[in-house]
Amino acid sequence: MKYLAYFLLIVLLLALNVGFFAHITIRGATVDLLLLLTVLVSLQKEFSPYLFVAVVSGLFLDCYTGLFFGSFLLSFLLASFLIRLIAQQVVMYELNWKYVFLVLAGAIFFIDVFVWGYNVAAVHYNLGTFEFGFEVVRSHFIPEFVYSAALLYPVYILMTAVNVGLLELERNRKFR
Amino acid sequence: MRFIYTKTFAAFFIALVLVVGMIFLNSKGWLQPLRTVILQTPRPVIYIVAQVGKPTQSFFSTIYNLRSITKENNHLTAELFAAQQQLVDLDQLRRENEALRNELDFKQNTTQNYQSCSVLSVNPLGLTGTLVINCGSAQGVQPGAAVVSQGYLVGKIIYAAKTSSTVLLATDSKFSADARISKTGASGIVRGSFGSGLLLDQLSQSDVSDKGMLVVTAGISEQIPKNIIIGQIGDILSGPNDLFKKTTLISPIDFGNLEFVFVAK
Repeated sequence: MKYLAYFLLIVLLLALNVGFFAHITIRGATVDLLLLLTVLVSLQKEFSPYLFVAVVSGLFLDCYTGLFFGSFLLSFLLASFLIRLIAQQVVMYELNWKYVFLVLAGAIFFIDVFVWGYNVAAVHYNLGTFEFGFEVVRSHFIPEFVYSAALLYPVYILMTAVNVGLLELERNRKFR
Repeated sequence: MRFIYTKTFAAFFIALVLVVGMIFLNSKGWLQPLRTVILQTPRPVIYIVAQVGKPTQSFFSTIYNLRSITKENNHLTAELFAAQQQLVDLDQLRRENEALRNELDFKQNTTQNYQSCSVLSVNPLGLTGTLVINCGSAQGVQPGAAVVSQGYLVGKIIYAAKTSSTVLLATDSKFSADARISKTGASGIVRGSFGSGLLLDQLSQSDVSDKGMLVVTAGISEQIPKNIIIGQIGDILSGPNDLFKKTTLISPIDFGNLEFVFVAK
């Protein structure tokens, strides 16, 4: 049930990203709602499906961006694992927004650079057909971070609503 | 306990193997059914979101662009009068042409064959000037083929899977195509420009390139047919001492809001 709920949330966020936010840009940059969800899920205290969210989100983005397959699958998987490690070893699990914004900035930078490098390598080895310049990554970083930071809380509310719904379902099942 | 024996690492390692396996399967083309499901399943939700979001989007963009809309309106009114005059001249020419063709018993030229496709996503993350369409090699779409919308060139195919393809938009900095000025026949290269739309480059300094002249595809590449309109010449960017002349190109196409396109076959 948890996985189905998160799958539906991913589809909803993807639809918002592709159908609405992709048309509203700040200096050419837009928000990646699936990255926001991956970051938030990876920072959750309880057992969270962060690897599932990372893989499914990456898979959807690979298909919808048309970039060389694996760009987002690998980068989301690595980013979510690193965030989980940092949350376990260094920081803490209670959502502290100061750290969340720091983690978000790191995740955006890591994913954009990874996707850029992955596609450059794919074209270099005649596997991919298209690459984009580092200029895009450099010029998009700040507007993308501002945009993402503004939408982080709404995504957090959606994720919390899903978690509350799942908890209630679990409670009802036990009660019965 | 060593880190590699922890549950966290084991789960990550399994996921990594799964992902690498998927990349391998995709390189062999065996992941096509999954790609099709992924591209088609969320379409109803995306459609609903896009339809609900459109009024909000257009409301804010209208307010934001009000000044330029007024300016554009005046400019278009002037252009309309000029076009109406041209239409009268063209009607006359068409009638003359038909009469001459009948006399010479000319056969009609065959028209280019196009495949109509729906746009699944337009550059959702703003990283690349690409869009994904729901036509692929199964529909006869080939890499390099021209993509047209409302009679204007919007890009070319860079990757064709079985049932979906990736289009590189003409506004992307990696895009280039042979072009010529329709009125003079002067040839150049159309390029996308990072952040500023389309450019016509590599024109000879002696070529006449007045504002408003139509630029069309030159048809040198086999997959991009001749005479597809690309746009109108805008401002001249190069100086008189530059080796080549460079101008901006103005296309009426809203590259960010394409819904249907046609691919040349």
